[in-house]
Amino acid sequence: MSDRVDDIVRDAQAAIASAQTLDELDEVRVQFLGRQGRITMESRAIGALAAELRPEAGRRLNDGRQAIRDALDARKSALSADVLRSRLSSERLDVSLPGRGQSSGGLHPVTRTLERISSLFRAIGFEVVEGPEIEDDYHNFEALNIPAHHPARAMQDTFYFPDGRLLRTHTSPVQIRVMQSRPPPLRIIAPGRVYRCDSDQTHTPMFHQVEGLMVGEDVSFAHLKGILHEFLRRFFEADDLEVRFRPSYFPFTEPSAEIDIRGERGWLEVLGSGMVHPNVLENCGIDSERHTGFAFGMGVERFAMLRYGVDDLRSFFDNDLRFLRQFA
Amino acid sequence: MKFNERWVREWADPPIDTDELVERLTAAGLEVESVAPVAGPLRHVTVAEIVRVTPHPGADRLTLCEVNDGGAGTYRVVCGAPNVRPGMRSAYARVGARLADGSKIRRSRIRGEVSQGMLCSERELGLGEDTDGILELEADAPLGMDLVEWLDLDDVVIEVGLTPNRGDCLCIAGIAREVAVASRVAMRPHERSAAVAPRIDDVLSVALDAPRRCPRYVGRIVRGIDPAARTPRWMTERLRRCGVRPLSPVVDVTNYVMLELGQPMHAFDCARLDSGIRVRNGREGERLTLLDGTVVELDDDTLVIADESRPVALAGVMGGLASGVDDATTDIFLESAWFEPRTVALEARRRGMHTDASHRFERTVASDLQRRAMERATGLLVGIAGGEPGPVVEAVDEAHTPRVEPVALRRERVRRVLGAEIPARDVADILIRLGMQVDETRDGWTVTPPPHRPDIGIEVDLIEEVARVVGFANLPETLPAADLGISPQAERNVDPERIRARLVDRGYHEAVTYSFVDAALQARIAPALESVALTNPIASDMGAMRTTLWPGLVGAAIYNVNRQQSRVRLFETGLVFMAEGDRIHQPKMVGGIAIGYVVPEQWAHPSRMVDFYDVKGDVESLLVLSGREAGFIADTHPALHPGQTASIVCSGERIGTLGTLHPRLASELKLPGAVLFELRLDAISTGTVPKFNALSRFPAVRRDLSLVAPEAISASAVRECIEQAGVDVLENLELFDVYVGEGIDSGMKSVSLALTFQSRSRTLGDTDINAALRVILDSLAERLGIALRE
Repeated sequence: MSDRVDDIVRDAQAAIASAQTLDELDEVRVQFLGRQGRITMESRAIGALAAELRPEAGRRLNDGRQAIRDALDARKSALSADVLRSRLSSERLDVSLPGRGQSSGGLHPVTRTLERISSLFRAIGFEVVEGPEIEDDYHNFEALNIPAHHPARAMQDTFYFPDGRLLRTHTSPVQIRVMQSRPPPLRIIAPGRVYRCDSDQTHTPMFHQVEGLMVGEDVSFAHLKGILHEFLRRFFEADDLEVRFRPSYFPFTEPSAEIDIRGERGWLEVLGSGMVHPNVLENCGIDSERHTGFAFGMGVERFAMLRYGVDDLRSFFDNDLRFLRQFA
Repeated sequence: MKFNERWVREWADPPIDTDELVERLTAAGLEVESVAPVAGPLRHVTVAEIVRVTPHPGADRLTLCEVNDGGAGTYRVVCGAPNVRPGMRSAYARVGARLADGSKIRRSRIRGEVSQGMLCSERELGLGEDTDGILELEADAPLGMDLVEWLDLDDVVIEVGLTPNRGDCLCIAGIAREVAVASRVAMRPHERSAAVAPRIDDVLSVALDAPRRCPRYVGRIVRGIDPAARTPRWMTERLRRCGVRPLSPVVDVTNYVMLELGQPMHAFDCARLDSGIRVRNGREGERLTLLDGTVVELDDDTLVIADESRPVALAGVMGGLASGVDDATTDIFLESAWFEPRTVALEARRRGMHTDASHRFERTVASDLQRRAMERATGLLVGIAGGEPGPVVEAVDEAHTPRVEPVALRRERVRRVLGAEIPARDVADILIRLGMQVDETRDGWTVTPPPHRPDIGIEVDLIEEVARVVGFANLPETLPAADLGISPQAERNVDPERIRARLVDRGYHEAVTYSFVDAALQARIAPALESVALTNPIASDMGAMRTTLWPGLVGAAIYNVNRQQSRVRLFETGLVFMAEGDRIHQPKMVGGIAIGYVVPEQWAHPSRMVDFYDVKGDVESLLVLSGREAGFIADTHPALHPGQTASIVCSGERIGTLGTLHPRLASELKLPGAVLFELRLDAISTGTVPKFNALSRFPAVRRDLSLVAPEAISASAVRECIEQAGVDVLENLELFDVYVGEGIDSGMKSVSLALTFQSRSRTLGDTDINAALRVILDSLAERLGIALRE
């Protein structure tokens, strides 16, 4: 009997070793340990043995069963590892293939620049305000100290409508609207589109400006210089930026200053500014003896060109995707 | 204003070089726009005499010249100029010389004859455009002298961009005043405007019939000038360097005086005037032919200079043709007047004319200049062309002559406006240097500006002068101290930045298109909206203000499709403009267009074209930002596919449109399948602040329903019906399939819904769910005729 058990175990081990898949292995299990399996059949034979032989035979049979189980388990985990390995290898991806889904678009460089300018001024408490683009003569000219015959009107080629209204030539009318609607102190910037009847290599009939205004009881030209110099340094991220303030003329500010920065090819005009003209304050019902203020205006395209190296103003309005993608 | 440096230095000559001079002018507010040498790289060109001229043996039009430049021998030069003759002095460029354009002269052979250099025309010397012949120099021009020295060519032309308030700098004297102040040098004394004594008694009477518009008119007759006289080179050179073309002695002198002193002048041919001068308003029906040939119709808005019978000049703008001087004129009447700036400005603008004279009068000419200019012009003219001057006639209306008013300046105000402590004596010194009369007062000064500074009228004008002369660079720079209040920030507001970022994240590029569009395209896209048209558009296809963002976006999409971009997704934010009676409504919109593949072409699955529902998803993603409920209602729109158009409605108000471009328009514009949307930005810019609802602790149960519904019943109708059935444990409802086709009767569609039930107070059992489903199905059947799919 014990020899038979040894034979069975030997057969089983051989069969287990030769099983190549988990299914084959299971067949081997059934063949030896199943209800009709050889070990099971052998255990039934124990009953026929003499009583004193049974314990020994039972122990041997159990050892044999255990040995087969151990062999099955060992083989099973070996085969499972093989299966996993081959599955992993069959599931290998080319990770360099592109991902799926929506692509990302991008902001127009003018908007990108506008948002940057706005966020710098917001950081020091300036509020962003907007105004209409079809304006009346009063807000665009009269209230800004530019009466009908003023030569400064010739500085700006204006688009008109048949009823005398016009497309604003600058964002300055927003100053007027704000000063008329709330009392000082005021700290605002007004970004937006402006229009001039002019079109060539360096002019487009529409472009963008950001207007700024600060009015209070003790706002001075020194503050104008301080804030605008600081702004330019921060915008261009250049602490050593060379900046030049130069006397100029705008009917709605006095003293007036143009501000230049030093570029690779000399000075570049980037900002117009000045102390709000007393007539303008008075036009808006603000006591010019008590309050002073400064205002400034900048061309956004000019800033975008300098910042991103765009060399043709007109390319901003072609909306060529090959251009726009570069600012995404 | 263009001027040459040497002329200015004749008036004020600081010990600084050109670069420094230019820098100081800019720092003083006279922005230098360009600096150009008068003679360019001209070198080794000398004064020479043509000794002998013989025909060129090989060419009819050429000559062989023997040229002497003061040395022992002569040079042989081949020349093609028609005006070359023996004894003439001209400009000789020897071998090795450089011309104005930088080219170098080499020994050459022309048609077989050796040429040792070249005789030069004005053009080759950079002196003018004349190429007809070689430059003719004065007979006393010293032989061998460098031409640069003889003609003062070692000079630069400086152009300043003058602001409209500085009319006083539209002349050499004015520029020199600025140079003197900025460099702290005195103006050089000059005798230029000494009175010229009359030698005849002839006068023309002058009547000021419109004294407000012309309160001062100075006139003078000069008889017997030599019509053959020529303007000397020193004068033509100065005119040329200041950008004025020399013409004839009379015209050149009036231009010269205008450039030098800033007073525009005019010369009439005395023989063509009918007795006295009358400065009066034009009359209805009168006409005047101007010097440039333009005929103008007059009325009483126009100020004219007239003789006793007719108008002879448009005051301050241009003279008349009939009374003008010509080659035969011997007797002239000179005019030097003060015209009111506004009158000239309006007249020049109305006639669309812009002359050197009107430019200056518009900017206000000094009111004390007229007689000085007259004397200066007379002196110059008599010196050049002879003639006998009559007495100066000066008509003045004192009541209307501009007066210089004193202006009070307070020390404290200077400090407050500039934020700088400028010593009182510096302030006074600066103003005095500027020619102002300064009287000290208790808290500052009383300042009387000179007549050439009519722009100084109020205190801040003086503060600006002080700041300008101190130098903006020398003024302090401080950051303001601010009270650290926090301005209100409404949380329910949605920043436009956020809206733009959402579209960018969903694959759109932002476009910026012109606010004026082609009226014809716009009429096709939005015929119902009343647009406003520009009076003076820059181009005929940019004449109508946009009433929607779509024409611009469509244009941008076409532009890109034409450049082989197969997938275009663009959006824009901006104002649109609609006429509403007398008012113009200018709402801010956000709009977009999508055409081509829904996502970039991909290796893993087939590409699909973008459609209505893709863009609807983008629109929904914007609506979500504000948290407001919005509905999509089938609608029609002239530019859109009649079956694929939705109005977007929020709280009963139409806030936008979404749809597929109408196939007919799409094929015309070559934008097949384009989907467009547009929303009012204000409608999605304010939303709600979130309010938390406690979560249920009990399990949720999902049930799927497949329904058969009439095809015309919309998804939102099904949803509404279910939501209104009154089942309070219905937590969520999703539509996950819509099917039309085999197995479904025609005219019907299958709709599959996933319903999620959940209670806040207990676990729901089958009985609860089945009861809820019963209610829902009954309601669907009853109200919409929808049944469970068998």
